Amino acid sequence: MSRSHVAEGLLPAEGDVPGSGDQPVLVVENLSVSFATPDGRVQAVRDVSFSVDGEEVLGIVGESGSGKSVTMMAVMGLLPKTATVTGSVRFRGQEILGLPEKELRRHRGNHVAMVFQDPLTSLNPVFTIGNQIAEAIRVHHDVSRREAMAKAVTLLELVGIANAGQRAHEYPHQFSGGMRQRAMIAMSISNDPDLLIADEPTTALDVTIQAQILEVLERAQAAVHSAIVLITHDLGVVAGMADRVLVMYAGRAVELGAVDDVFLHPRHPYTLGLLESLPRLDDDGQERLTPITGSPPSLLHPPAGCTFHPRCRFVRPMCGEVVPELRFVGGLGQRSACHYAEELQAVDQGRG
Amino acid sequence: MADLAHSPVGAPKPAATDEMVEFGVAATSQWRRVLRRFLRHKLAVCSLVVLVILVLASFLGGSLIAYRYDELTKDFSSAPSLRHWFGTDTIGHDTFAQVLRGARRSLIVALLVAVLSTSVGALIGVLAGYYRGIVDLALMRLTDLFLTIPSFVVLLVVSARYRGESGNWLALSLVIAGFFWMQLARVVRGIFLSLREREFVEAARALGATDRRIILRHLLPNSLGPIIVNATLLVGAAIVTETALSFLGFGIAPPDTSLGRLVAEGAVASRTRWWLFYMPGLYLVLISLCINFVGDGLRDAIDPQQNRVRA
Amino acid sequence: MTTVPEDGLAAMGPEAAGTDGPRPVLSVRNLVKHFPVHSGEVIRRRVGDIHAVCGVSFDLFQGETLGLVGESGSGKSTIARCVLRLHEPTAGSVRFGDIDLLAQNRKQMRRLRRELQIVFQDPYASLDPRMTVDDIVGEPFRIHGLKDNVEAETRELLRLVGLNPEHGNRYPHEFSGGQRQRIGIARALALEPKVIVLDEPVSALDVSIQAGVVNLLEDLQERLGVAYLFVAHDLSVVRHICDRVAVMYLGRIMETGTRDDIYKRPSHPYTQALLSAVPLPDPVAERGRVRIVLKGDPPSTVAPPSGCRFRTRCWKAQDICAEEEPALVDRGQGHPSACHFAEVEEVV
Repeated sequence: MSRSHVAEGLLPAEGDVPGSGDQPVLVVENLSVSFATPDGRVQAVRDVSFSVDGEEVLGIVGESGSGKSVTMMAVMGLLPKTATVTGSVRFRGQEILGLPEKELRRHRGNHVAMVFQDPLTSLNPVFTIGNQIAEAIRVHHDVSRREAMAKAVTLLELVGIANAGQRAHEYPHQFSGGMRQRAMIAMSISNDPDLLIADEPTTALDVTIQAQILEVLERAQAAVHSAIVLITHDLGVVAGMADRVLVMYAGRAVELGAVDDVFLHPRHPYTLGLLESLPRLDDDGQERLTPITGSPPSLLHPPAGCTFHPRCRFVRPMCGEVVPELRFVGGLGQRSACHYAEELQAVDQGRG
Repeated sequence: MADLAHSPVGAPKPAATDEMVEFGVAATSQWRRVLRRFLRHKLAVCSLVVLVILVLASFLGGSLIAYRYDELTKDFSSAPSLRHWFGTDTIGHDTFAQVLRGARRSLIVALLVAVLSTSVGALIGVLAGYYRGIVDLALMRLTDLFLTIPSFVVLLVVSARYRGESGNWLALSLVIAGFFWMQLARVVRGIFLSLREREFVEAARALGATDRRIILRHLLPNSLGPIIVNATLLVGAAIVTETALSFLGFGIAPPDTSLGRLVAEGAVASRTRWWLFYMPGLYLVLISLCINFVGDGLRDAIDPQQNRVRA
Repeated sequence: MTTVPEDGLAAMGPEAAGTDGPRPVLSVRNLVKHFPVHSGEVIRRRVGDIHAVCGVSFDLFQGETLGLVGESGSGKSTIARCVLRLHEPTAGSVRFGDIDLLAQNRKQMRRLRRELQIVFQDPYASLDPRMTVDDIVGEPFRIHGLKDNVEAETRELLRLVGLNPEHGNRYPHEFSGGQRQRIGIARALALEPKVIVLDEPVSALDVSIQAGVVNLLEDLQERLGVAYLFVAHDLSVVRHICDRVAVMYLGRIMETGTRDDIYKRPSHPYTQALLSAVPLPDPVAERGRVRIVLKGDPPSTVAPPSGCRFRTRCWKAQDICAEEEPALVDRGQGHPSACHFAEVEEVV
């Protein structure tokens, strides 16, 4: 597949998302990432293309091994040297892949920030929270220590930490899990990033704390007008937060579209399977759940053709031979990597 | 290799060997993976090959070469030649024969030390780590006590008592082993403390397994890796300790000999008859280097943390 | 020690209070578990207690599933382990039928373990990596001296949980998370227990795998009539699988009732907040929801608040909440709720 061809395929998609006339923040094209391991080559991400607009929230959904985290590591320039990366990752038009480490650091601090699942590992235990945020500010801005600290306190207030002035002088271990994640968000927006990547930001947290953190994330986004890429396995979190959603399976993008389209009219059997296999809080029915049969494939030896075909209930001979392209289905910018996506319309009726 | 592949602590072999072929199922156990990872470690594999050759030579070589270690040949102080590979000493002993003999004695001492101290260390570690509380406290204070004693001084004093007695290598091994078990005891205790909180141990307890069964069937097999690594490295350390003692004249008594004694005797003449010092010395360095590389290789192969690829 | 009034207890069973309904297979009364907190490395001083479980009572009847839901620190997993005496309770009683489990010595308890089994959360940690699947599933038989026919029984068990018995000679690491959890379930089923404690059995599994394990658990219950004590934080799974539910917070039961009581007619503010915090995988429904977002974090379990434990985060809290611990009783909402101001409000 040539690059220009993909670009043609990509650009109309941007126009279709309402209210996003300007240039996308992030464009990922044909990204593939593999790792050499003793057992062979692990193909963590294969031929993934998508883009993120100005102030939108893109949810990336997938199970473990789907490649969702590796994709965003590539965007951050955080992949280990052992990774083989091909394709293109452009941030505001600038190519990220292959940049020297020094420029990557500038890229990470200034334009993209990340919120991790476990804030404890990304906060330094021997510095106070306020100090760490102030330092992050001073790396990229020429301000005095005092000014930086003042901004750090303001940021901590923004993310809902009571007594921020006082608590800024505490150490990470004195914070609860939810508070640490708030501090992490404060730090991530300290340099007004254009893009905030949140990798399973609430997975380690209890559900009542998760609700708080999602609220904080929205508030933080509103404050700095950034785009958010929200990586999660929780379909509920995406449904509530995201504007668009990218569904990944075994290293490939299988469906992309506005949340309403994807959740209400899934056009890929995997998306459909996920939604059907999920017990729902608002579902009184004692109907049996419909699991997806089988297990996710090995990334060492992914199946030929469509990676999902061994588990797909609609499988046909072609699925095992031809890799389906992520193509437009329906008129609203929804795209699916299934040869028979249109036939899922019939299922919509069944789901009511 | 197949024996190694199945859990070494008495796990029954899978009964369905035929079915394995029929269904194309290869039961790769953790040990087979350890072996595969070890084989990728080039330096360790080379070291293992060299080590095996050296050990075989030490135990079998004596009967294959022309001279006995205590035989007085007619060549006095001759430099290494085709006849005497490592040369001879002033009274005509063939140095190669003596090195082989000495290495054999050193290896026997070292292996005995490793076996003894590993057993003692493992036992103490198991008891302390499994039963915790007062047992742990008492055993660990005992361990600390042994660690604080300047062991080499005690070794000197104790081995002085057996100085010059033939067959004192046994006593020597016991004494060295007496100061070599502490590290392993701590390692095993640490492993047991963390393993006993693991869910599979809790599951066994929930099934009604006895302490004995939990220790023998679940905890020990899972700590075997570090124990083996530790034992391997102990062999290396024991050889060096034995050498040091013998060098100072407290080790193996003549007419028996060890690498340490040979080095000690050769050191006197290291300027004039260099082979008497360097040949046994080289042999010694080679053996302990190889053992340490093999130990490192085993450690890397057994460490499970390095074989996870995040995807 | 805190107590739960008897009327609250009786209401926990499916039958009306006091009548001669079915007798519970497992009955827990005023269970308390404290863990000592030590300070210092060398000289260890006991500086306090973690109040993990503080006076919890419930009954479990044959063939039913009781869900214990709560967030971390609620004490639900501690209860699971106390019931099996993997932890020794500090106070209270655990009865299996007529047998007082806490009065059994080690040997007697080992025999009783055939009747009570557990499936753990993490299918990677709960199987011995050095044993083959045959050995793992066959271990219960060997432990209890039931040596004849272990092989045939093991094969049957593997088939029962949907695994290929031919794969019994493999090691756990060769299986996926879902398959490993099935192995854990097979092991728990081996001795045909009457009660299985399921400690977050699906929360470590990927979404597409979860459903299969949930279905398996339901099928097995139908076939074997085993009772489940289902410990989980995932409210959606609990609604799907449980007949009755107890909502826990900081070591206490806040509200309990049938599935519909809890999900359709929640009356405790904590239950309501918990339910409203769970995001739904439906963007349209999500946009229309009013979410109750609680303030702050749960308080420390070392020094739980006086009175009602939830009052520090509760929007209904009054002075009385700090002074008087609300009893777990029916205040007109149709099921027991430990709130002075219990009031049914639909939130899902």
